[in-house]
This record gives sequence, C-alpha cells and structure tokens, in this order.
Amino acid sequence: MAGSAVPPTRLPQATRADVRAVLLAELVSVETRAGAAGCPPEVLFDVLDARLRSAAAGGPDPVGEAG
Amino acid sequence: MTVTVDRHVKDPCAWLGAVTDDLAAALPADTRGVLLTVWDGLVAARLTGLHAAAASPRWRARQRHAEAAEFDLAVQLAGSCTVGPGLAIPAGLPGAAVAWSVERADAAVAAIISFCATAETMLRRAGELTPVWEDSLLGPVALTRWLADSWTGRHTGCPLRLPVPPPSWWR
Repeated sequence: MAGSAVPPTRLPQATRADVRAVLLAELVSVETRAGAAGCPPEVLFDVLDARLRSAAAGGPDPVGEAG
Repeated sequence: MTVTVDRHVKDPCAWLGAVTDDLAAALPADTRGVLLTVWDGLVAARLTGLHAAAASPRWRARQRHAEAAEFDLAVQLAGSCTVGPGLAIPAGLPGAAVAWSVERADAAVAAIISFCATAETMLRRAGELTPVWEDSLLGPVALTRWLADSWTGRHTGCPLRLPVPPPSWWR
C-alpha cells in the first residue's frame, strides 16, 4: 500500500478543529470566570490542568490532593 | 488532585453567575462538560452560601440543611464523572473572609437558587441523552432541586455528618 502524505496517527482536520474549539472555549471560560471571581486566571488554569492530567491518567484519583 | 481556590476568589457571587451562564450555554450531549461545570458551580455556590450564612441567622439556619444536599450532590457528581473534579469544595470560609451585608447575602442566595435551576435543567437534558437508565443523572437532578429547596426553606433534611476522613475534594 502506498504511503499516505498524512501520518495515520494524526487526527482528521475536522476532529482537530473540534478539539481546538473545545480547548479554546475552555480557555475563554477560565478567563471569563476568573475575571468575574476577581482571582488570577492562573488559579483556575491549575484546575483545568488537574482535570487534563486526570483525563490523561484515565480517571479520577480518589486519594490524591494538592494545595 | 484537587486545587483550593476559595482564598483567591474576591467575588464568589459573580463567579457563580459566570459559571451559571456557562452552564446554560453548555451542550447537553457533552456529559462530562456538563458535570464538571455543575461541579464548578457547586463550589461557587458552597462558598457563596457560607458567606451568606455568616451574614444572617436566617441564611445560617438554611445553610445547615443546604450543605447536606451539597455534599450528597458532590458525591454523586464525583461518582458520575470520568475525570477528577480538580477543584476542591471549601469545608469552611477562608480565615480572612470579609463579612457581607444582609442585602449582599440575599442577592447571593438568589444566585444560588438560579444556579440550581439551570443545573437541574442541564443535568436532566444531559441524562435524557444517555442510552442507559442508570446514567440518566436522576440523583444529581433531584439533589439540585433539594439544594434550591433548602435555600427557599421548602426542604429540611438531616444536618450533614461528614464521613471520617472526609473525601479529598472536601477541604
């Protein structure tokens, strides 16, 4: 079979656009909420980061915690 | 892993309003997004309610019933979501919390009730789209209603008795 110009591990363009849209929406949401709450956006970015790490690890960690 | 943000939040009520707006615009088919946004709103509602309770005996009495619904809702959300909640639910007010006026507390409770109505609607829609009855989120739907009813005085449950040790997200 002839090799494709697009590596097979890459997401289709439409899927990548959807993922970008979701991430952008979450980032905008964090900025908006932090502005409303009067707290630095970095504080809520830490929450987003914790969720991304949990998703990457395959699920919630029932015992782990951090300040 | 959970992050504590309550010490950094200057206006919990405005935070709650922003989360409620996000929740109203969420896609019901994105169950995880709905659950995590309800979680964020629950954290903001908890913090807002603690401030209101500190401002008035009337709200203090209702907060004692509300926090049992808050805890049970948190348990169900944590169990329904496939991702760690990331954000800790405050066990109490930050030590340096400034006292609110009664008027501000009244507005805060109205914001909590508004959040609960939006959360109930979105959880119901998200649950209706799941193919399995056990995933239909009827528990969280009922608990958001009870949380609102606790603040309006229509629901009086048992006071919260925390498990020992409490969950890692309650601190």
